[in-house]
Amino acid sequence: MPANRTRMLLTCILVTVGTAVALGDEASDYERFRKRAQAEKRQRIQMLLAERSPAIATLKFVRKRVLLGRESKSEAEAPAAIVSPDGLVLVANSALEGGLGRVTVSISADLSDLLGDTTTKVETEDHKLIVGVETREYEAKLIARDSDLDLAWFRLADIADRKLPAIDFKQAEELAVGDSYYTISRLSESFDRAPVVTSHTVGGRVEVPRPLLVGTGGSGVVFTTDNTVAGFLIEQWPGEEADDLDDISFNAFILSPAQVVTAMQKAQAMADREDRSE
Amino acid sequence: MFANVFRSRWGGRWALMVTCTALAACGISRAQTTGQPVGSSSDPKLKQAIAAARDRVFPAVVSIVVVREDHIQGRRRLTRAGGSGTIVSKEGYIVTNDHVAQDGTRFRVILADKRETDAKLVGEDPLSDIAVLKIDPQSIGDAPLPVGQFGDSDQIEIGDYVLAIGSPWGMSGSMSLGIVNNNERLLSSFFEDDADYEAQLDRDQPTGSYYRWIQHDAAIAPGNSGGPLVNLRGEVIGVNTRGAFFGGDMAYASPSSVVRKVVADLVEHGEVIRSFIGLQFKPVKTTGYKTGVLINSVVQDSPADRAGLRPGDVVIAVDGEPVFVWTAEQLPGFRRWLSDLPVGTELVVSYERDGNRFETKLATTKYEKDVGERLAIKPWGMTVQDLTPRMARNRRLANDDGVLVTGVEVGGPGKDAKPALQAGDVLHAVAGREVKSLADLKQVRDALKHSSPRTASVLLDFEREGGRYVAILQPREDEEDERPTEVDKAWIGVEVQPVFGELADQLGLEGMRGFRIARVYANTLAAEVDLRVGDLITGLDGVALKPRSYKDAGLLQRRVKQLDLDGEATLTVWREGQSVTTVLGLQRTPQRPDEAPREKDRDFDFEARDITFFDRANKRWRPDTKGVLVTRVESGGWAGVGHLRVGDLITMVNDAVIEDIPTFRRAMAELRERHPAKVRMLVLRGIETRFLFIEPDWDDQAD
Repeated sequence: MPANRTRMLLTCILVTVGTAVALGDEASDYERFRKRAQAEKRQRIQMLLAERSPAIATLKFVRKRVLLGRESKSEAEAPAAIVSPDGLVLVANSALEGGLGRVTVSISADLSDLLGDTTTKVETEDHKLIVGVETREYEAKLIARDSDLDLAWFRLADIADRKLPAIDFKQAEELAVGDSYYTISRLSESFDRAPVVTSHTVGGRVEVPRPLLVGTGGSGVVFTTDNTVAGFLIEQWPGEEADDLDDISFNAFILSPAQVVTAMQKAQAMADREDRSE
Repeated sequence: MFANVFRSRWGGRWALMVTCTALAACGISRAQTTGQPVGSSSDPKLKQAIAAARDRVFPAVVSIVVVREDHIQGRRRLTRAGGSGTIVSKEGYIVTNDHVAQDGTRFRVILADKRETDAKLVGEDPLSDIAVLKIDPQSIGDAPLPVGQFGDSDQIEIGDYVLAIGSPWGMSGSMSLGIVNNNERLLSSFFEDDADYEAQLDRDQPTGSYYRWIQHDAAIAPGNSGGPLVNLRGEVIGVNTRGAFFGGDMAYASPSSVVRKVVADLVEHGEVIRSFIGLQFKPVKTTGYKTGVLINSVVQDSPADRAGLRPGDVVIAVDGEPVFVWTAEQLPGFRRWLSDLPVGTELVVSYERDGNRFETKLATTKYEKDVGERLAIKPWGMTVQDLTPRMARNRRLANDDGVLVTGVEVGGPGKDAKPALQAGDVLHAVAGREVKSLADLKQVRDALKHSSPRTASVLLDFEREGGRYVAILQPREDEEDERPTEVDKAWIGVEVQPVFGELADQLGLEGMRGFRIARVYANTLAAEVDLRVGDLITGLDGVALKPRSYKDAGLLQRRVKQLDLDGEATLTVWREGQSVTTVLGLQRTPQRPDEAPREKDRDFDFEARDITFFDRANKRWRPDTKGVLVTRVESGGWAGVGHLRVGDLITMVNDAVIEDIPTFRRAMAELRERHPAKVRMLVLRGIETRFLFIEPDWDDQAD
């Protein structure tokens, strides 16, 4: 075989082998990367569960609905977040009302003269908080509400000197459209109130009726993927002139940590003022 | 043409027929227009008879208003109900239905001449659905009471005219005319097995098993219950008891032959004493037997059971008297004959079994009450009932020891117990003490209530579906008023509407956008700075306001809410072709109705709250209008019976002026101290004031 051809053959062989090795390396790299990412995600979620879920609680209560003079009661539960070690608890106000607090039965003027107020009145009572997977129920008193921001605060009774695990909205981060986020919820008593992490994405943003990020789901406190508090999920009604149910969007709106903190400060100040006046 | 018709043979007969028919028709028509058709209520003789009957019995018919204690979902509710009755003695005894008086805590009787007075329950007999009340004749003056006389219901026939008198839908003094459709009616049709008849009756309280009804078509409605069915001699031959949901004017009355005896028993003994032997019977019509009555069922441990009688035996004689019950209609009479025997009567019962004849002896025992007394235990969030032997049998319990749970309140202590209590559970012990009856339970409850320190948790021992369970119950203290308080937010006292596009053009504001003031609330900072209806707000704190659609209607107030409550707002206002800057202070968003201080009055059973800013503004009350707004009224509570309504504004209670919740609380506390017999309230209802007079029963205090 002439020397040139030999060189060419050897070169081809070398190139082929080299490419195969290189591709093999790349595939291994990808596989390593994938496994590393998976391991990191597993670790993040496990850390999130371990560090944050103790502050995620369940509020039990009795919901009383009155419509056209008829009252009905039912037991209900809502996800809650402990936001201070001395027993301040945050809940979405809409979770208390069951989504029907603002529903008005529209009937003719003649009939409404006869039947009176057709607004569904929703009240809640007998509030009790279950911390984590504990069985003990703490009495919880509703101290303030911000219906516009869909927030409600409770104060626990009888915690004595106990310092509860809490979520601090001041140590927080703001999300942006496209970011992923986690939420933690608790299953029912039948499942021992086990905490569950769900993963979502910030899919958009609205400016009206107020600036809010729009998520793809979840409830309660929002966490970034590295375990930082990033907001609170609320239900946002379109505004005072929403005139049919098509207007109502039940997307998960994310209230920023700054908005939550401002609202909480107002709520606490008001509650402290009322305590003093009593 | 008419003449030609008569000429032919067939035409003649045809013409005759037509002519006769026409003449007959004219005759009937004349009768309708000029004469009195037979049977019509305009027949003078019938009209006279009706008037005479009416005059005899009408004055003795009363309306009855009852405050009833219902147990619903584990809670006690007071409601108002009504019915009718007849005064049957000059001492003031009134016969009505048991279902009118049932669970009543107060009774008010209104006579035909509008005098009214309180009544007391003398006795009730659910099996015949008859109750007797009594009024004090002297409480309504010296004139003797009008009295209705009983007639003999056994003499009535199908087709007889009858009158129903009472208070349909609460409209007293109503009378209707009908005829007897059937004088031995059972409430079952030929589509049903007559043995099913007793199964259709309430399993705990088989009302109607001892008599046949009088079915008639004199119109009755709810409110007629307990009122008399009267014949044309003016005699009470029945007590109207039931109507039919379907089938037009079908009504049913309990016959006077039964009612008269029941009334006598209730007046004398306070109860109807019946004999009991423990047998359920079936008429022999479809059985193949030619005589006797078939035993369908034997109650365990009853006299019949102990005497050896068994299902399938055919009773052919009692004390030598032959027995023959062929149809279902004959059964009530036979049962009544047995039950009317004095308690303890010894009987020789002859019966056939497997083709052979036997005899046995038994002694009747007393028919025990079917259902037990009820009680609502509010701190436990449940209602309970004493068990009777019948209730225990129906539930296949070993005996009637224990107390039956009849309802558990949602979210209440009974529901929170682990395991949660349920309707149907039977309490056997509470706090370690045995509970065999309601009396035992009351003792334990009272002991716990007065224990010091107050008992925080109670151990319950109860039976459920054959098992025995225990649970801890934490009695509830008084309910706390958890009034939600909205966080303070800034507000300006105007209502606005968005202006843009064509609306702006039409208003001469081409190209402009903003919020037109539609209303300026009086007594607000907005009114003080002279903001006016028609002003167009185009900016807030230097930021332009540009609504794009009507859905932006709330934009202005939303922006204002974000401002500092202690600060000011600078509004850019377009008025009469000029831009004006107005600075105004911010005030707190007015209190919502559910945030207003409120008070639940447990004695009078109603709730009220303070007036809010928007109450005053929307109802256009004067600024000096004060009072408390009624938000809930229990219909059977003292306030409900006194006609207080949701929406009333209470401005005075007796001589106390009511300005707000604190003054209202003080006024009601004073009533609790003094226990006045009558309370006067001045309320504003709509645009008119009204006086309400409430008569509380201070002796009737709920748990």
